[in-house]
Order: sequence, then C-alpha cells, then structure tokens
Amino acid sequence: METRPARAKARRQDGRDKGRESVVRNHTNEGTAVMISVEDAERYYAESDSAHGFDHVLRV
Amino acid sequence: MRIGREEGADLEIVQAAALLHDVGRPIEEATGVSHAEASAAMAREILAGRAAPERIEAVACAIAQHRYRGTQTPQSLEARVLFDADKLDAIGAIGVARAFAVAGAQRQHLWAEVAEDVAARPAEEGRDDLRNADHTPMHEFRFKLVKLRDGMFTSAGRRLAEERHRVMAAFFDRLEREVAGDA
Repeated sequence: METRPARAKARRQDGRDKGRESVVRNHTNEGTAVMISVEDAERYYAESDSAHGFDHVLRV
Repeated sequence: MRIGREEGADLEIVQAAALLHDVGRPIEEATGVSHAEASAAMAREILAGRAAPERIEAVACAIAQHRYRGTQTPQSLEARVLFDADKLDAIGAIGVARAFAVAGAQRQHLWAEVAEDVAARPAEEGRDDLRNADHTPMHEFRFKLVKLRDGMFTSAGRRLAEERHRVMAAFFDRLEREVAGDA
C-alpha cells in the first residue's frame, strides 16, 4: 500500500513532469537542426540545484 | 526560444546556448571561476564535432556574455536573446522564488536592512554576494533584480519584463512593509 509521503512525492513528480512537457516543447526546433538535444544536455546538470539547475535552463 | 523566434535569431545557436549556459556552475562553486566562462569552455568541449567551429564559437560567446555580474556585454543577437531570457527567469514570481531558494540553500536570512550604497555597486563587484552570509533576497533585489527590466537588450525581452518586474517589485515592497510592521 502506498504511504502518504510516497503519494505526495508522486504528485510532486507528476506536476514537475507536466510542467516540463511544455518547456521541453519550447526547446524543440521544428524544422530546424539542433546541436544538442534536451535529453543530452540534461546529463551535464546536477539534480540538486533548484534555483540554477535544469528546471531553470528549460525555462530559458 | 520564444524571444529568439520573435527577434529572428539563429535558433540552433540560441537553443544550444540556452541548454548549456549554466553547465559550469559546479566549477564556479568549487573554484570561484565565473560560471559563464566555465560554461562556455564546457560548451566548446561538449559541442565539438557537432557543428561547424564558427557556430560552436557563437554558442560559447553567447554563454560567456550572459552573466549579469560579469564584465562582458552580449554582442551578437543570439547572445542578447540568451541574456534577456536568462534575466527574465530572475524576475517575476519565479525570480522571487529563486531568490529565496538561493538564500535558503546558503542559510541566509529572509530579510535584512540594505545599505543605500548596495544598489550603486558595479555589477561585477557582486560576484561573491550569493555566498555571503549577510546577503539576503532583499539585497539581491536592490543590487540586481530591480535593474534587470531596464537592462534588457531585445524588444521582446523589454516587453516581457514589464509585468514580471511589477509583480516582483510589489512583493518586495510588501515584504518591506510587513517587516516594518506597516502591513
């Protein structure tokens, strides 16, 4: 059975995933070449920095 | 990317610069070297062989020139687009949230009185502010955030900055009044 903290964590992740979909679309150059993909770039960032991490990068 | 499209910039360069512009932050934290310079150097390495050298250099230059607390100003259209997009994420509701997230991570206070000369300091003098225990989000607002709207380089950036600036300024004004017991 899923615990309350686990459900809360899942909800937070779901919200992040939904927000992420829109910003990833923002970085998809339809019809234009890309030097690096979003997934490839993400590998170079640490997960722990909420202010300057990949969430910020995707909004830019 | 939205600003790049609106300004007619080279989107391949803007996209790569946006995705890699902060990739060198851990180097800044470890060594003190500007993350803009570190990220530009890393971008050259990561992108090597993926595009023509002059296009990779255009990405690296845009990244090297994106820092508010830096000594370089953005020269190309793509560099100006990256600078404005990055600064838009430092103002508005997101900017407020980020300022307090940084303060929390650095164990800084929520508020402290800000000396009048803080706002007059040159941008590059604030390089180490975020690691200073006496720095607060209010200092960041007076030193940097309040000036970003008027420092935008593109017309799209200037337009988008207007409302974000109003929201952010209203928040810090309210914070000041609540701390003073006036609200």
